[in-house]
Amino acid sequence: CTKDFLDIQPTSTVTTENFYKTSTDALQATTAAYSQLQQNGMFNYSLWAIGDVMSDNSFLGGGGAADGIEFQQLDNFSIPTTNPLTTNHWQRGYLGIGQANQVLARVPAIEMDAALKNRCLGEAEFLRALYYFYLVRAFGDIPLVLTPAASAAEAASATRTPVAQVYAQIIKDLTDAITKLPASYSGDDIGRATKWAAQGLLAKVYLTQGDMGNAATQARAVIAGSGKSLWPNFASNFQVENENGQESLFEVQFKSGLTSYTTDGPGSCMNEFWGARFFGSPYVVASGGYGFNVPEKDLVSRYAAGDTRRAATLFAPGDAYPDGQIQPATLVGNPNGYSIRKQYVGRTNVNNWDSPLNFPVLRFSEMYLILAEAAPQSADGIEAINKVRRRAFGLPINTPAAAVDLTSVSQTAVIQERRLEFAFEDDRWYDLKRTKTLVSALKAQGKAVQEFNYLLPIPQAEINVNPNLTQNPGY
Amino acid sequence: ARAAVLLPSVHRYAVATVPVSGRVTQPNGEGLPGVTVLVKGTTLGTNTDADGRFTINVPEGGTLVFSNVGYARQEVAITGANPNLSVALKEDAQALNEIVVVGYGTQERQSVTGAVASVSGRAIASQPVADAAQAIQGRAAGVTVVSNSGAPGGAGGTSVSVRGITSAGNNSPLYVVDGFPLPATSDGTEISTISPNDIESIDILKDASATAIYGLRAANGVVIITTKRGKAGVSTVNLDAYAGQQRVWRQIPLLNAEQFATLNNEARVNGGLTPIAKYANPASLGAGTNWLDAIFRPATIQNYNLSATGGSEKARYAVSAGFFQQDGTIINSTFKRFTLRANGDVALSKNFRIGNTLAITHQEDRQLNNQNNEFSGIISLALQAPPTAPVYNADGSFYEFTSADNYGEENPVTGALRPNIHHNRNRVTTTFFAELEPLKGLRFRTNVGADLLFDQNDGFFPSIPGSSKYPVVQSQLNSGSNYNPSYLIENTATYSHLFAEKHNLTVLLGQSAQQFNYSYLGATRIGYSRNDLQVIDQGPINSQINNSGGNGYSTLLSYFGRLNYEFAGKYLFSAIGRFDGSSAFSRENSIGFFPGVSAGWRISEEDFLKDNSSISNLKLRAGYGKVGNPNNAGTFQYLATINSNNFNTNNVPGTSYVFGSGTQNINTGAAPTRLQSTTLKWENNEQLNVGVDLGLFNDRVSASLDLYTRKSPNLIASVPVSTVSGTIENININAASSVNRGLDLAVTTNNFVSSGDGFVWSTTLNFSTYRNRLASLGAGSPYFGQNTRGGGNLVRYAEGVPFGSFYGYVADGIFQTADEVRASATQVTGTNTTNGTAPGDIKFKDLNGDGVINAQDQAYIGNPNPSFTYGLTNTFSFKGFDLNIFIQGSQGNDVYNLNRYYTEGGLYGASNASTLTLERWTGAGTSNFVPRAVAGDPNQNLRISSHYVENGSYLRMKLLTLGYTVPKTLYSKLSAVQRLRVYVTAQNLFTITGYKGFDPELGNQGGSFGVDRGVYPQARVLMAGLNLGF
Repeated sequence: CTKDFLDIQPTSTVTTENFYKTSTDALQATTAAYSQLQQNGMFNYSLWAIGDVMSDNSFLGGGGAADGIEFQQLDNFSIPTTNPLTTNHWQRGYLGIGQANQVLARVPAIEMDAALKNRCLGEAEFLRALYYFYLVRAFGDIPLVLTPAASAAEAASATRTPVAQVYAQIIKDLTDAITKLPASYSGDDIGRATKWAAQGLLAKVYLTQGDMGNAATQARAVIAGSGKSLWPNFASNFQVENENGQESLFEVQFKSGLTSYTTDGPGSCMNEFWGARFFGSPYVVASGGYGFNVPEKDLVSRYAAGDTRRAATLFAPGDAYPDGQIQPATLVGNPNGYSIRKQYVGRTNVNNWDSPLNFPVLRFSEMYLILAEAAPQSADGIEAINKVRRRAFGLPINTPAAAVDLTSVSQTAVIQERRLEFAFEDDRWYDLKRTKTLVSALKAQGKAVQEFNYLLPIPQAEINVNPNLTQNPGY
Repeated sequence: ARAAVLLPSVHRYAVATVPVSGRVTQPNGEGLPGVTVLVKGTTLGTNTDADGRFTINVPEGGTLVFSNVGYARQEVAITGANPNLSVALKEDAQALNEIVVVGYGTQERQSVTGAVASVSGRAIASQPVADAAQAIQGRAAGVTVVSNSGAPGGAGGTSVSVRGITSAGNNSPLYVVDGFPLPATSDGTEISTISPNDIESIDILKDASATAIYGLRAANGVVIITTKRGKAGVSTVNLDAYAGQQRVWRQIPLLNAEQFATLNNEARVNGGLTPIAKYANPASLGAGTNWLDAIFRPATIQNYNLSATGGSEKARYAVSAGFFQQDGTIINSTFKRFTLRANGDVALSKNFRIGNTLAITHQEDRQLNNQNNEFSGIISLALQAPPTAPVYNADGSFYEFTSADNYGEENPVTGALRPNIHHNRNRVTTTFFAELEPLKGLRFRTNVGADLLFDQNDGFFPSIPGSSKYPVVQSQLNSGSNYNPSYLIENTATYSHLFAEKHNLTVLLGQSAQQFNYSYLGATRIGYSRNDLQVIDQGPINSQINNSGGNGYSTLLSYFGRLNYEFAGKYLFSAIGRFDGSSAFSRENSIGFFPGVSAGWRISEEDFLKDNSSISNLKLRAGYGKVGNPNNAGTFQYLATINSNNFNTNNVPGTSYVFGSGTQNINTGAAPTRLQSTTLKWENNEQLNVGVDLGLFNDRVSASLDLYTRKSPNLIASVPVSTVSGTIENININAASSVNRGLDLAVTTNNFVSSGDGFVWSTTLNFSTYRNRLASLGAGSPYFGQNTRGGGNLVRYAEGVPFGSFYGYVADGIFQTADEVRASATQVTGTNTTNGTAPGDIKFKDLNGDGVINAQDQAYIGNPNPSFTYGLTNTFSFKGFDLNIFIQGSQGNDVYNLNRYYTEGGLYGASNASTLTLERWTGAGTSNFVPRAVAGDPNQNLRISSHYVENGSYLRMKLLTLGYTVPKTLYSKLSAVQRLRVYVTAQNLFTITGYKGFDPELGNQGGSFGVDRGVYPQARVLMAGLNLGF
């Protein structure tokens, strides 16, 4: 009686001991590994601060003072080790890795359909590689953890693994995932990682490492085999009705209407945070817009006349919103009056901070630009960048057009093309980093950037619980 | 009405008896009902009637003993018949109760060997407080009581800590009401549903040798509440009523419109921005809106309590009905409480009796949105809102801030008036007992009880026609209910016997089983097309529908015993042991043993002191015990649970993800987000207490001094784990140990005594001090707590520093010149005056001397633990007048005034600021404290630093009451009325403090200790009341 009275199990939750038994459990465990993509430390909130605000593409507008101070710190390269965005990026990245590790550790023992099991494992490998790819670029040497931690003490004793070793694991995971993942999905599974997503990411990983041969090989494989193609109209990439469309290799899925005032999904907060700050009557975005990611004049000036990407990427003063309101010459915190259009969905969302528009992680056009950068001397490399350029200028993609075609390709040209093509797709900082132009580009903008800013600070919160984690120099 | 009572007893021999009648009075001359009048050495006795009168036959040469709760016992030798004996009992807060409730039984005060403080029901009922716990403040040495919030009805809870905080989590004592241990809460509202008028006494077990009888739950002290019961032969009907007005006693002076616009322009220019067009001509803006005036109001408070007690030896009753109503000092907040109580006792036979307690409470609390939320509460909105905007537009609609204001928060008045939020609570707490006394001194008692707590919370957020901020698509209803029942069954056996006239032995053995259940259900709908039907059913069925629900329970199984031995009334010994088993812990860690031993020596009973004329009482006490606190451990923490929440819940990320085409589907995910903590145990507390009780000059002066050491060897901390683990939630571990050393002193002096209605003056002083130190950190490294608005943590727990110490940068005045900036350590990386450090910015100290201000330059910048706290009560009475002056205070504690993040934030942003910013730095030598105005705060002057640490010492006139008992001659025609007292009371009349915020008295605000997060402030209350006896 005594024992029975005290022997109680939770009635509202399951534990790791009695979970991981069925194919449903395997699917749910795999879903969890995706979950961080749409949340705060990754694409929904942190990555635009790192990828764009911290680059020459944009700055934090906001309301001044301490408004968005964590973005200001990145924008101004005055980054404390406690910065919430970099901290969240690390922590949520590792949370995603942990969730992928759970799949890879537990799912093999589940009795279930072999093909489905294989797919779950491939998805987890892809996701683990994706998270590590972001973390290794942001923080440099990082602990390489491949199994679920048994105890807090075990996790607290992890040491930093050299970058090369982390990349080796990323490549291994992606290579493995390519063999396990299907080429496409249908119905309710659309949005999961495909074989082509893994291969496309692998191309980008090789490119980042400077392994141009392998980068070109992988990019060519995706171009040839994926069946993907460019939208004739660049702007089609950023419309809700075209989600997971013909040009999409992998995108973060967002759905509106379920939550409000959260940066942790499943809605995207970018419509709200990037929207023109408190502009319009009614406001052009649901609860006023915060203007937290404001295009730099320098970026805007780089779009040549006739480049359709400019209008698809941003609202300039005088541009009309769908409801007819005109973008003013200046906005609060935004002296030049530019606002981002790529993630703009307007007032269609009902809940605050809640947009349904997916966010692109890998677009097919990037395969062309990777190929061009990796094989600049080859005919297909030159043709690749020209396809992207022709589309940008509204020309038939496969028809040579002397007005816009390049006859030779330099890395500088490709990087410039990438800047215009992927502006506000959280990618610019990584390009500046890998081309070692971060400091020069941002000094030109008057930013107090320093050499050590090529890496972000290891979060103080993590060093506090694991003294083995040495801080990056300069922080 | 009178009743002579002959308790069952046999006299050994008979003597002649003489009749004695008379009247027992209180210090104010008023008759004192219900006084026990006993012939000393016998069980022959009676009680006084409603007017204090009694009649009894006394053996010639005998002595009558008069005793009553809250009064010093008095003995009167009877030399012959006396028809007019007048006895004036003195109030005695020190040796308050003749009888002290010690858990599963009572003891005479003189036999108590542990540290026990008592507060009389009279002291509780005399204060206009919503929560009875607030009335303990300053009344018991070593017990620190602070309201968490001035929200009406005590809705924010009350922080009660016995002998200092030792734990970073829940430090609340265990509350036991009429034998029922109430479930712990995290918000300090355990006893807020009890009507203060119903309380007979509160006894607070402080040291572990006393609290051990409640074992696992006793580490933070035990507050035992006994409600009023009927007394045989005394029928009383009382009406107690008061009504009054509350006002916030201090407001933070804010800038007017002209001053604000000037500041804002200056900040923007200094920050390299152009001024806002609307503020181009500050002088034209005038005073503008004072948003604090717009949200604060004078508010009423009222309380009515009607009670009846009485009965016979066979059956006794105490019933009462109460109504308490308190409007909030912020518009649109109000609270009502209805209470009913019925306590009964029935003697079914000579040795078998049964009884019950039944308390029913219904509360209606109309709350503000985010009532105690520092970020979006009404007060923080009012502190920030630009005074340049009106409350209402010309057409009467709410003004909404627009881009023209460069400010986007909610109009504070809209924030207060628009939502319709109701928190209703119903609580039934009841116990039934049966007691069998098969032979004299042996009692078996069974006590069963239930505490049923129902909460219904509804918050409707209507749309406002024509508003872009509050459109129909965002109108919303959140509706939720909680049901938290707890059940108890206890069986005890007590044997008490006096052996050989010298050995007094009492043995208690018992068993207890308690179960705590919870369940909740919640729902949300959004997009209400009309605002008048505020129920879930009337909301649209759309994708916004949300619902939640869950349940769980835990159990506690206990066996306990206590032995009290007293030799010759001089040597006292007590031993307690309790086994507690809790379902919250892993099987290996679920059962604990909690012992307590104590001893006492009543030196004044020794021959060499017995006849001493000046020392009337002298007792030494010493005790040691080991007890526990399970409240910070959580339940099932030894298991790694699967997180399958779709969305972020309590700051824990959800695990769902979206797949599919079209509108896509949310897919439930599942993963552990917290590591298991397999070795987790409850917190322990080992306490050594040494005390002395002293009575001088026939107890004209009585004092009690206790010295203690409280060791908490395995405090639980919620510590972050390395997220490299793949989990992100903190885990609870037994991470730290702390030591509190302290002293409690209580002194009562009867400065003037007189019989009848002459001048009487007595003084009671409570004084407490303790030192807290974190002795070691089992977790290995210091850890942080308490997030702040600006990000980062305010509190750091590290070895050798007191619990709750503030940690941040050290502000060292203001940079006066550019040369000074250049000559000092680099504060931030900015390069010019608009994006970097400039004269007028705070100079932060370079503690490690490396020339750069960074995280390594943080230090402990404040200690929220006071040097000492005190309460001083003076009561006077003369000719029917009574005056009670209660002063209470705290000395030497630091407060982190986080409110200044806003009230100085106006220097850097779009929000308003306090008038302190009028003294801002505007050039060399203009200020060495208030920084320059500069938009964007490039120097991060708002970072956590000693700039915001203030001395939180205060002395407060907590209570001032002047009463007058109307002589019966003035209403002699109203024969039914036995007594009538009228009084006026001021609560929080004045406060002497250097603190600059709303109020230095800071409870637990958002889990903080000594941090002013700008929640609902305390009010000053002026009121009048009457006590009417029939």
